[in-house]
Amino acid sequence: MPGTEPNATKLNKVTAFDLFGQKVLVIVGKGGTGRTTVARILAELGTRSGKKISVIAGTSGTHFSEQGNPLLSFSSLEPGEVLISYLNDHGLGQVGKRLSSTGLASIISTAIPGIADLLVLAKIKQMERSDSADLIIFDAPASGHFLKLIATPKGLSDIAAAGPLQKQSREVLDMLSDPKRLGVALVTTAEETPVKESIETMEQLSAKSGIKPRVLFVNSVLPSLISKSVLKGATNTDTPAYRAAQYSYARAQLQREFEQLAAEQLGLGLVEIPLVPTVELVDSDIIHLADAIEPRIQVGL
Amino acid sequence: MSLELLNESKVIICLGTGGVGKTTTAAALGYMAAKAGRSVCVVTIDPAKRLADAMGVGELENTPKRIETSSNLDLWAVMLDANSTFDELVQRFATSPEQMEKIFHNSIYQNLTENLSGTQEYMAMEKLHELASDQRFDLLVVDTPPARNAIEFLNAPKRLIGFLENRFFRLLISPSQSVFRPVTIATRMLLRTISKVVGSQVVSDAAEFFQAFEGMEAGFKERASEVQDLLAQKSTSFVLVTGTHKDTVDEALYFASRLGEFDLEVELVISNRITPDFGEANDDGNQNLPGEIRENLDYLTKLRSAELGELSRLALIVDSGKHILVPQLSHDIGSLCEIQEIGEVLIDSKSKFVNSVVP
Repeated sequence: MPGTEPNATKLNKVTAFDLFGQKVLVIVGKGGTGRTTVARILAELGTRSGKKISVIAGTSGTHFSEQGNPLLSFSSLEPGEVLISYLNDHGLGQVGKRLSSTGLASIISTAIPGIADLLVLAKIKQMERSDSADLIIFDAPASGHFLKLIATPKGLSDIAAAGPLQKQSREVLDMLSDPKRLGVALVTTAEETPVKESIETMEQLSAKSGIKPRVLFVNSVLPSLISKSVLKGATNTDTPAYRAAQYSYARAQLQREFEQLAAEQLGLGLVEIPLVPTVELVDSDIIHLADAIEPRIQVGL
Repeated sequence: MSLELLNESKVIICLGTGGVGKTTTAAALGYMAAKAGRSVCVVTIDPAKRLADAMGVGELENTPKRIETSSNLDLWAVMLDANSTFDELVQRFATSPEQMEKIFHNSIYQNLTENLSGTQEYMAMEKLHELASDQRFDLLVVDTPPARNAIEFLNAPKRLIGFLENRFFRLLISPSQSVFRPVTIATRMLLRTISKVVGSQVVSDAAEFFQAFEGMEAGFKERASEVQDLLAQKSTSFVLVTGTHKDTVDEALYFASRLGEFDLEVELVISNRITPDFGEANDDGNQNLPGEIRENLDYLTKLRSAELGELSRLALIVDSGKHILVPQLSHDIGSLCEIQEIGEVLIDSKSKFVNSVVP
């Protein structure tokens, strides 16, 4: 894009309804793009409007702090663990002692791919039906895995023709296919592979479940401090400051290119999350990021 | 890094969490070794499209293809196809064509590669085993599947064999006949419960699966122990790949702490995509810098110092001479030329070692 300044990307608008208009918001993205960061920021933003928010991590070991916020609660639902506790609850607990319940669980989850994921969604549906929270943010497993997860209930209604599973899968399917109940936010970084994966994910989501994501978060965006004119005006560019400027300009250009590609291909409202110069985001970073993003979100429907 | 690792290893295994640049690193190591005159095959798992194209493995093929290079290097690449690798393994160990067909048609077998964690990893090892006896290559560089935990790779054989030997379902089948062995009342009740909770199909699929695999576990077990031996050889080197984020460093530390259990050690740590060192903004000549130029340098300097602080924790697992920092390029990696660029950084020992940059 010759002649384009780095910050010339046209960003589609995002409304508060896109983010908080449904009771369940699922955060979907490739591993390492920052799904948990987005979940934390959205939780912070949501509580600012007085909502009681429950964040569910789809993988164990997720770092999340409730930030001393009484409106915020956090728990994790790791599919393997959920399956084991389901089996235990349904009379298979004795296997645990005799023959290792994980062994049985791994056979069951291989025989019925996605059963553990279905059970996770069923738990989320249960929470949705209760009054425990105004908004449930589901920090879903990495996108490849999530696609399998949402493809499950349909497949399951065929496999498990009877019993408790069938009812579960029907109810989960109802929730997934109802845009009034469940929304999806995609997360990517402005790089080639994650952007391409987001585009694929979006296509597959709509093919498999009819879910249409409402918003795309672009994470770790370099601040566009450097404009072309500033670079052009320099006389001696072989100094640390100018080498750094050229680097930032080139990186930012590249990021804009992929951001633009994502914006065009997905047609979604887009929210940038600036890259914080740190290796781990602490609560105060999250608050600052929420402050930075808040003006981008338009109030109203 | 001195060229020693590239010259003397027969196998180099790159391990790390997803998204840290494992595939690129494996390709760059392979490239540099080929440049040093070795016959190299890079085993990749799921390369980004441009990288795959650059290496000429855009299509899933499961057999090594030679990479076209201007200097005619003896450099090959293969993209792991876990499903057909498993099929080949079954073919090898099946005692009859009927047994093979039975396994291929079993729904549990069909779901195994994608749904039993560790199966991909095991198949990567299997591919390694197969290529280790291929006379065309004297070095194999292996990229590993993007597991959350790198240790999954080493646990994989145990997992798959544990699955194949599942005692509960083994109880159900008689060793030679295709009928249910008389089972105790307790077992029968348990089966009924399983059927009630997850459907009777699961029970019959599982019984069929274990029946079909009967007699093959020994072959798998032997194979796994051969792979284990290969990994333990002195000529096999483990390279840990990290990014700059805390979680990737945590994972590297965890992995190193567990490696001891397998009598293995980390040969080299490569940390990718570090913000480059632009030098100090010294006073002379920089007096009249535009505000944004100065601000940008400050920002990058701050970012780099946070990254270096994080990476200095890796001193716990390797000497500084065995920790390489690879700077973030201002462009993406998607051509052989750029793979070579990374390769040059890896073997340039003068400026890129962590000991020369950590405060």
